[in-house]
Amino acid sequence: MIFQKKFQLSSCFLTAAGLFSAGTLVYYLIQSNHDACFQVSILVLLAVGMVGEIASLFVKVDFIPMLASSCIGVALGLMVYYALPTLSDLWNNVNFIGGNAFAYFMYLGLLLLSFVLSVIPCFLSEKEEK
Amino acid sequence: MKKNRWRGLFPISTALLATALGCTSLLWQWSGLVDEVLGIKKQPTASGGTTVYASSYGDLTEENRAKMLADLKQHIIKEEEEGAVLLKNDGVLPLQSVKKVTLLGRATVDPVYRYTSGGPSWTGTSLRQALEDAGLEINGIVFSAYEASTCKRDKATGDIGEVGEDFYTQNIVDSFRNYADAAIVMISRYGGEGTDLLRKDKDGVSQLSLHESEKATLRMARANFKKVILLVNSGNPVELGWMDSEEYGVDACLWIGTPGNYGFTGVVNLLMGTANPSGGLIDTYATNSLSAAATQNFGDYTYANADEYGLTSKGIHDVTNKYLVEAEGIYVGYRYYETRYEDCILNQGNASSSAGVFASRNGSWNYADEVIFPFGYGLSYTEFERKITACKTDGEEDAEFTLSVNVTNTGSVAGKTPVQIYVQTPYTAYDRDNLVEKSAIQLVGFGKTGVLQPGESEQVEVTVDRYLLASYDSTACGGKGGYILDEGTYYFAVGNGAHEALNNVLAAKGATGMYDEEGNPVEGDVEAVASWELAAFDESSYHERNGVAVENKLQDADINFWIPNAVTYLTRQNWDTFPKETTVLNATKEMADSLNADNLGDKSFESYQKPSSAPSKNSFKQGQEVTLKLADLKGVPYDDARWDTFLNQLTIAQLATMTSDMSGIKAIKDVGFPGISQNDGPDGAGGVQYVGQSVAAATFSPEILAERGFFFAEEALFNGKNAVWSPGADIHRTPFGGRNFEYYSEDSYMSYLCAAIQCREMQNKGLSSSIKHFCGNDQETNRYGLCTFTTEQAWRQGPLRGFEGAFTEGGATSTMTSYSRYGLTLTCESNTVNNEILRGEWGFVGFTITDAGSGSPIDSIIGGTDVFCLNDNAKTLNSWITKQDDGNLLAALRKANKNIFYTFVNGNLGNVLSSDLVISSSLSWWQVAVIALDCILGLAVVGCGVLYVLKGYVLSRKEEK
Repeated sequence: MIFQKKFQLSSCFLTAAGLFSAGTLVYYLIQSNHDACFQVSILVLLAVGMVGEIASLFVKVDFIPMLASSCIGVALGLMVYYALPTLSDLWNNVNFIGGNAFAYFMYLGLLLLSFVLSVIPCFLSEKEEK
Repeated sequence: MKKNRWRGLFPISTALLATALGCTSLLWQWSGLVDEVLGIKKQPTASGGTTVYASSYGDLTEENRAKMLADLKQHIIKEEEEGAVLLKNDGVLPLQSVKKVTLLGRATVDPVYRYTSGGPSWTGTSLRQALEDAGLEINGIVFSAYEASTCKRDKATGDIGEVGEDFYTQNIVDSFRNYADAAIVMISRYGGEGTDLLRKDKDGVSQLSLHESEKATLRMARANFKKVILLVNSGNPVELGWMDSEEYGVDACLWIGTPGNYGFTGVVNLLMGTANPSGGLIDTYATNSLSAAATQNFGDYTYANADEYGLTSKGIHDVTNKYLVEAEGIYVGYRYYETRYEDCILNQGNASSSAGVFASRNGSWNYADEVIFPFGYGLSYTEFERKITACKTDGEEDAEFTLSVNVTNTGSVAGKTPVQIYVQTPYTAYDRDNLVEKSAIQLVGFGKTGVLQPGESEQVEVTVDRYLLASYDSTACGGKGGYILDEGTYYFAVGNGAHEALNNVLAAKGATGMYDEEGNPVEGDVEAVASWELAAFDESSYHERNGVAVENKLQDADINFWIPNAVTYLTRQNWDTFPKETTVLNATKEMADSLNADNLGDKSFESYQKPSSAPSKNSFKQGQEVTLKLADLKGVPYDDARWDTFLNQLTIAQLATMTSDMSGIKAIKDVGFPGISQNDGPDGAGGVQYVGQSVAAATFSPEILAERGFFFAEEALFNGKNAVWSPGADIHRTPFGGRNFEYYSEDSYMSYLCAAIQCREMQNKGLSSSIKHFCGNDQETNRYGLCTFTTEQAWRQGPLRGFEGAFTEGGATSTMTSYSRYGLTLTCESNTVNNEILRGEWGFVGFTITDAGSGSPIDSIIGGTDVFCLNDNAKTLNSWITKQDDGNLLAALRKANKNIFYTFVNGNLGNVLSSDLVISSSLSWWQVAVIALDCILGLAVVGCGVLYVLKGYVLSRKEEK
């Protein structure tokens, strides 16, 4: 099926979102334990989102991409929550909270990209594309 | 709108809602700080209470606040006038017949008012403004050119931010002619929280040395002006051995430290002669700052086998792979330079060897080559003569000495001067046999004269606690350890700094061959010395304090405890033991296990295990009916049973919440606790930036230090602050410490004396002085979790001594612990120091607070911590006690609460506590706005979801039908 519709824009984005989320997940899993940024909630949300993106390539249930994207969106919101105290040190030019600001920037960037890639296919309709 | 739009908008609104809720949670945690930033005050209202701590300005009205702030401004100016140190004056100061001046050095347009650290921002008087206020005209061409320069300081690289030689265009040089009365050159150094100064900066030289760019500016000044005055704007001792250079030397030099809001007015008063310098250096100024014994081990050191044992460096909680060996032992700052000097003069201990030579010209260590300005040194526009006229013992068992010092102004203008009392204690065969180290000279007290007219004399009396003459001996009392007083002659001496005082002692001992810091022969003045004889060795006087044995407790904070003979500590028995850099250190398995138990593993960061003997949590009755309000506990003794009744009224959750400080502790209405507010830091905690604390110390004025404490407390009353994280009492262990500016001195005894005075005054007005960072935070590099090792004598007479006076003499009721470790134990988790030494030996009654974010919740509470700064561990504590049924931890949590409540009910919070106290629980306007925003986003999520379902499933099916 996927090969038949390989030129459909939504499938392309779903594939990109799924792969990017998978990459982000693996990177987060490996890296975050080294910089004390690991949160199991973020990992679970990202994993569910990734599975949803990939599953929707095979199972055509209309709301799955929406829920998958929402999971990644919540993961992004959680990352903002965990990152802000550390990033506030940069803003204030002090070192009160500590933590790895660079790592947080990386994770925020990756999650934002994952989210953007996942939300685009939600706006696209396979019917409309045809 | 089509269904796909709603399908796309749903995750977007969900992501926004999640982010908003996260931010809301953070804002709620920090609500006290947000309120403060927005100027929202939530003062509880009460009537019928009694004001326990009243402002000296009367009611807390805006009018009286203005009066207080006006006086505070004058205080800050006076601090700078009396704390700035005149280091050189070839007759050009005070400035006379000077109208038009040129400011040189980019620092003149961008001074370092203070380094980066917690505290208020600068909102005061610039150097230019202060000079213009004094009627001087400033060369605007060069000033504007500096302002337009793109040069900037950079703490990370050590860039001093000065312009190079090519900056000085012909146009700029031509402008000098019209402003040639004098050149005022300023050099600045900059560090701060988390950032030490560099032993090798981006220019490849010590950050404290004179840089090529500064030489260019000084050459420019020397070539174009007859009078060149140097201002040293630095909290760290800059190397100044070049000041007599013909090429770029200066005619006068004034160390001004970090001037804060109004210090530059004081600086200009000194330049113009409306004030006369009277400060003394609080650090030794070496020819080469790398020459200090302590500097040999300073910076970044990682256990060589860290990876093998899984020692890591992550976040704040779990840094386990960094260490620092303070191999200098007690010989920090002048204790090293002056002790080695005496041993050179007395030809003992191989003091003249080549070990530790950095500036000595013939390869043999020589004081005059190594040191530029001694500790305590400072010039004036006049001169003084100091004689000790009497030395009386006083108090129970001669616990105090009173030194009478006659000071005469022998110069031609009025002025005042510090009276620094130093002591030399006997260095005996016993000390050598038992590795007890003795500094050849030690500051033990100070006072200051009033303004003396030419020819006028004043008798200044300074009290010295005999305890400060004792040395810690790990072998005393049959090997248990304790403080000892050796039999023999004790010499008290005065002088213009430690070196002159030591020369006076040497003269009294009949020594010859002494010389001053410039290498000029001196004879010393025996009239500036008094002696006291102790007939017999004494190891009992200080063996017990507050009912607690003072004995070895920090043996495991010495690396040789874990790895025998790993390090040779510096001993004056042989100066060839001058410290070597400990660059390779392998942690033993035992050390690694200890560190790892406090880290990683189960990711809980806790090494605490519930003891088998721990009672059930139900052995305490929490959440009982409220019969006692906090107001009822005003003045109730710490050991009174009513405290237990009060604590019984709180739930475990409430007890746990009290440990969380997010710029304040939240109210508990049930028991009449209105919440408290805290603030940071040593150079101001209420909106006004004081001069740097090291400048305040350099005044050597008990009056000014007390006044500083007074204004901290007054500001707190007007601003509703109950505790401030001030003063700072870590030591300037090396010249490179990034926060030296907000600590008193290189000398822990100086810190002891200063902190006692300042804290006493803060406490007298009900402000809890949370002196920080207790203790050993003597470098910023790797401060999180740094394993710090030295001998017990060095711990007790060094880092710990710096704080001790605040508690035992100043009555400080709180302290902020440091991020670092005593050996392997985090300071906030150290039962040994927090409970056995601080609360035991020193009798401290009050609360301890971690540095921001530090410490494992449970280990810290068990280890004597009471409050977590900027960290909310309530859930963890509550959960552990409840799930583990741990009455042991609950008992510790109750103790922490008692410490907190006891401190605040007896502080200025008592002013608002009364039986009819009404505690506001209304939300601030911003909280209402945030909730509204969350609701809107929540509705958006629901709306998008509903519309998606309607469009996608309900309506589409209808259309299909």
